[in-house]
Amino acid sequence: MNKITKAEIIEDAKSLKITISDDEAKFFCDEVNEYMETRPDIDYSNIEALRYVNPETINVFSSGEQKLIDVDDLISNVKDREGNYVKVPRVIK
Amino acid sequence: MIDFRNVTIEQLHKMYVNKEVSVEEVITSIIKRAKQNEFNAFNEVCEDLALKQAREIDERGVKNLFDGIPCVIKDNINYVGSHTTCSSKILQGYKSVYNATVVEKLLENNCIIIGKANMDEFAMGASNTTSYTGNVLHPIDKNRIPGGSSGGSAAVVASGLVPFSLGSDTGGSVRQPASYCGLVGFRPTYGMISRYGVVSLNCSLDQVGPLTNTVEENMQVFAMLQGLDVNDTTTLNTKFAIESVNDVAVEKSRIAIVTSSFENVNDEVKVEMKKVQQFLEDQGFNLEIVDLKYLKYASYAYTGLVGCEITSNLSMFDGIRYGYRSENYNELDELYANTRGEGFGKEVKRRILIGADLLKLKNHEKYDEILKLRNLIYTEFNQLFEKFDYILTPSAPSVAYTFEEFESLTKKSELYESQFMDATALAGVTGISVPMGVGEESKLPLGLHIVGKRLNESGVFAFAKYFENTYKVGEM
Repeated sequence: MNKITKAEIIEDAKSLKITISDDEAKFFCDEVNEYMETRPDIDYSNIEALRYVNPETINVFSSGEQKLIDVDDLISNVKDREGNYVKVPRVIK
Repeated sequence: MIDFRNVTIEQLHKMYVNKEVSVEEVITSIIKRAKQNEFNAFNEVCEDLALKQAREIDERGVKNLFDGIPCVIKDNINYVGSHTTCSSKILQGYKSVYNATVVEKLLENNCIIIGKANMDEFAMGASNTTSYTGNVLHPIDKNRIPGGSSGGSAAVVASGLVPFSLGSDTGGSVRQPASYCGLVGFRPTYGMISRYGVVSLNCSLDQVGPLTNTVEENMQVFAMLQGLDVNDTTTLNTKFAIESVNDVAVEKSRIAIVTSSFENVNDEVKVEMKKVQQFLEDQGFNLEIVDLKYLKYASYAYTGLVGCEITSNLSMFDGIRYGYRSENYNELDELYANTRGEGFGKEVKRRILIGADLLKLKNHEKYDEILKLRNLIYTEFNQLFEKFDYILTPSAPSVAYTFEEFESLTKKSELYESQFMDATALAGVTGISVPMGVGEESKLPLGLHIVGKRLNESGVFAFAKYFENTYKVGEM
C-alpha cells in the first residue's frame, strides 16, 4: 500500500475544509499511515460486511401532530442573520 | 449536604415524602457545590432552571420515585435553556433549541437536571483530557484521570454530588469511567435508548447510559429512559421491565471469562479477576475460560468505523449556523476552513483525517474488511452466547492512570485499553461495569465488565445485582 504524503494530507484537510498547520500535517500524516498500514492477519473469504447490528427494521411514524421548532429558536444561534435569512460572506464577486 | 454515595434515589424519595428535607433545600445545596466545580466536572450549572423546577415540585408535593431527584447530563445531550458544547471550541456558545428524548423523559419524570458534564471533545477519548474546557479530575485522586469520554458524568456521581448522571457510550465511554471511579455504568443493547438530540459521534454505535452508585438505581434510570422513539428509527420496540430481573435464575448461569482478562492487563487487575473467578467457582457456577479470537482487533475496527462516521457527522460544524466562528477570513471557504481548523481539537482532526482516508475509493477494500471484521466479532459473541449467559472481562486493564502515565501510554497499550469495550459495542450487545475491588497497591477502584447477549438487559442486571450483593469489594 502506498503511504499517504504530507502534501496529500494537506489536500485532504483542504477538501474537508479544515485548516491545519505544517506540524499538524506531519503528525496526521504519520497517524494516518500507521493506521492504514495495520492489517490484521484474517481470512475474510465468505464473510459478509456487517453494517448494522439489529435485525429488526422499525419504521415508526408519529400519529399525532409533530411539534415543530419555532423558526426564531431554530436560527437563534446564527452568527449573522437578516430576518430569517442566514448571512454568509459574499461568494460571487 | 447529602452525600449520594450513601443515599440512594429511593432513600431520597422517602426523605422527600416524609418531609425530612425539601426539594429546594437539596437542589440549593447541590448547586452551591456544583458551582465550585472542584473536579472541573461541569461545563455549565443550570441554576435557574433547576431551582424553578424544585420549587414547583415542592408546591405540588412529591409522589413518584423520580420527583425532585437531581441528576447531571453529559454535555452532548441537548437540553433547552442550557448550552450544548460537547466540550469543543467549535460549539462554544451554542444554545440547545430542542430537548433530546432522554431529557424529555427526565423532565416528564420530574428529575432535576443540575447541569452539563464535561467530557472528551465530541466524546473522542478515554481520559477526559481532550476537552476544550480542561481535564476532569478523578474524585479520589486529582492527579489521575477519571476515564472518558463521560468523565464529568462519572466524577459528579463518584463525588457524591448527585445519585445519577447520564453519559454516552460509543466504545466504553460510560463503562470505563464507571470502572475508574468505582461506579456502576451501563450500556444497553443498541437501540434501547433513543439517540435523538444526542450529538452524534458514531451513529451506528452510540448509546446513552446511566452512571450510578448501585445496580438497582441504574436499572431504575434505564427503565425510565428506554423505549421506541418516533424521532429515532434505530430505537427498538422492546420493553425492559424491572420486575423481570427477579425472574432470572442467576444461580444457574453459565459464565465465560475471557482469557485476555489475564493478559495485557496490569497485575492489580489480574489479581482481582482471579479472585472473582475463585469466588464464582466457590459459588458453584458453571464457569469456563474462553478465548475471543478477534478481541485484539476490536479497537482497530472501532477506530476505522468511528473515523468514517465522524468525517460525515462533524461536517455540519462550519461556523455559519451555530457555535464558534473564526474572525480570520476573507471569503466563505476561508471562513469554513479556519473555523473548523481553530474550532476542532487535535484528536478530532486526527480521527476525521483517518476516516477521510479510509473512505477514499482506493481504500474501499480496507473499509470493507473492517465491516467484515465487525461481522466476525458479532458472530463470535453470538456463538459464545449460545453456550453461556454472561461473558466476563475486566472493565479496563488498569486502575485510573495519573495524567503523566496516561500521556506516556504507547499506541499498543492504548489499543488494549479499550478492546473489551470496543468489542461489545461493535457486537451490539449489552454490558455493565460494576465495582469488583480495589487495586492491592493503588487502593483505586476496579470494575468487572458483565456482558450479556442482545436484549438480555434483565439477565445482565440480575447477575450484576447478585454480584454486588454477594461479592465483597475492598475498601478504597
